[in-house]
Amino acid sequence: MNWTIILSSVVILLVLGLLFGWMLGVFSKVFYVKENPLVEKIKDVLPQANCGACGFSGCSSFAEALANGDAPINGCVAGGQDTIDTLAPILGISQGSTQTRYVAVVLCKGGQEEALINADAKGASSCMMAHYLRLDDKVCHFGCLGFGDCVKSCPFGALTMGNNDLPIVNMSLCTGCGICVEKCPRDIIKLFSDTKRVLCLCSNRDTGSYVRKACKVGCISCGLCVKKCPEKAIVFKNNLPLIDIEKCTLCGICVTICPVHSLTLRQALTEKNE
Amino acid sequence: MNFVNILIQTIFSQNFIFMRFLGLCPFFGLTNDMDSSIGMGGAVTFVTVMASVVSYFVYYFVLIPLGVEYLQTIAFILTIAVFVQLVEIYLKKMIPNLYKVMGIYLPLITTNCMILGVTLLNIQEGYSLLETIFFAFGSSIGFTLAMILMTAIRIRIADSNIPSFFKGAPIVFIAASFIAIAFMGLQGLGG
Repeated sequence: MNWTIILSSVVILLVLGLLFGWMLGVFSKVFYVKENPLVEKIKDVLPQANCGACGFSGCSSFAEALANGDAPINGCVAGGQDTIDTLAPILGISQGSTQTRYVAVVLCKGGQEEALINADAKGASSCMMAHYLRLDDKVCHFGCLGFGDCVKSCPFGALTMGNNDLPIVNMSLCTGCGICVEKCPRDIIKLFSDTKRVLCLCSNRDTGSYVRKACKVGCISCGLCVKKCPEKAIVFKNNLPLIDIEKCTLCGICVTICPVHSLTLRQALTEKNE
Repeated sequence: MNFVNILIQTIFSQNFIFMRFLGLCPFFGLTNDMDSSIGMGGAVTFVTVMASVVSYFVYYFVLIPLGVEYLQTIAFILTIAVFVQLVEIYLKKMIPNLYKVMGIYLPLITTNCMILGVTLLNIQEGYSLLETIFFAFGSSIGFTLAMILMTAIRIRIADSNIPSFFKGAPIVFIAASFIAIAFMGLQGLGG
């Protein structure tokens, strides 16, 4: 066995390795970059759901932008007021800036009992598929398809599928990130600010006679709410009532007189708890 | 003309991915979207050219004088790893924007077998320094070309209706083999 070859290889590689290691050490000292410790702190506070509702690609890029002052402190939609309250002392900003809380609302009440079903929708496996391939079982072509694309997409587990194939929003878990809004192929999930308000839980833009044939709880655009509203806060657009929340006094008259009960007075989450 | 020949050879007829089958990990792992494949291509181009030059000097000014040419493989691995680390530290400090673009790809490149292959082939073919640079540049352009081709195909595959047992990696391997066969038709180009 030739010991000199082994020995020389080991020595040469050792010297090379030491040389390179020393070079790296010097290099990292010379080009040392101080990472902003603020970014780490902000990252810990953020929800880490990477939902993208803030407009950045994820929680870490939002944290960076926030540390650089490129993002507003109330930018994190998912974290809500709690995140702002914890972020404020880290950033040294007084808690003056607040954020309106948004929650998702499913604008359809037509479950399996209320909506007329005239077909079998076994072929589809997702709302997207059912919508584009016309594999829906309901007569109403505006209503909820019930395959739960929104439920699957929710990163916070705020949506569950009810017994009547309509998704139920858990308002205390919903952060208003808007992912379900994008996922719904029929655009019946919308974000509304979390205040007590009147909502029309129907998205059917057909005229009354068609809606009457399709669903028991669909808005038949009878216009009774418009006539009876003491504040003249309701107008009809696309055969659906539009409620002006500036004018609405939440008297609830429209909700009680609605013949198909598609208008509801939704309680705010905060008021519900009291 | 030799340089043009080297370029044509490395980009087309001796493409590192389709003809020599080196550097396949990023080729299959990172070709899901155009941004990352172009980013990887750019980073590989930069590192391959620089690493080839550095390993050229290591070979001819360290290994040859010491008479230990047989250590080239392990010495080159060391050189490339250290070089990539140096580049990463340098970019982080001096060109943060470029670091952000290439950031995640740089550590991945350390173990890219294509770069080691290029440096070893440079020595094997006995290229001069200028030829080394051309060879490294051409082969990384060929790599980038392969990445972009594969990404374009994978984007199409993602939208098409393929049998369930072909979904995922199998269809990608099949597609890659077809491109490789197509590239075989270019054999003989560039001498």
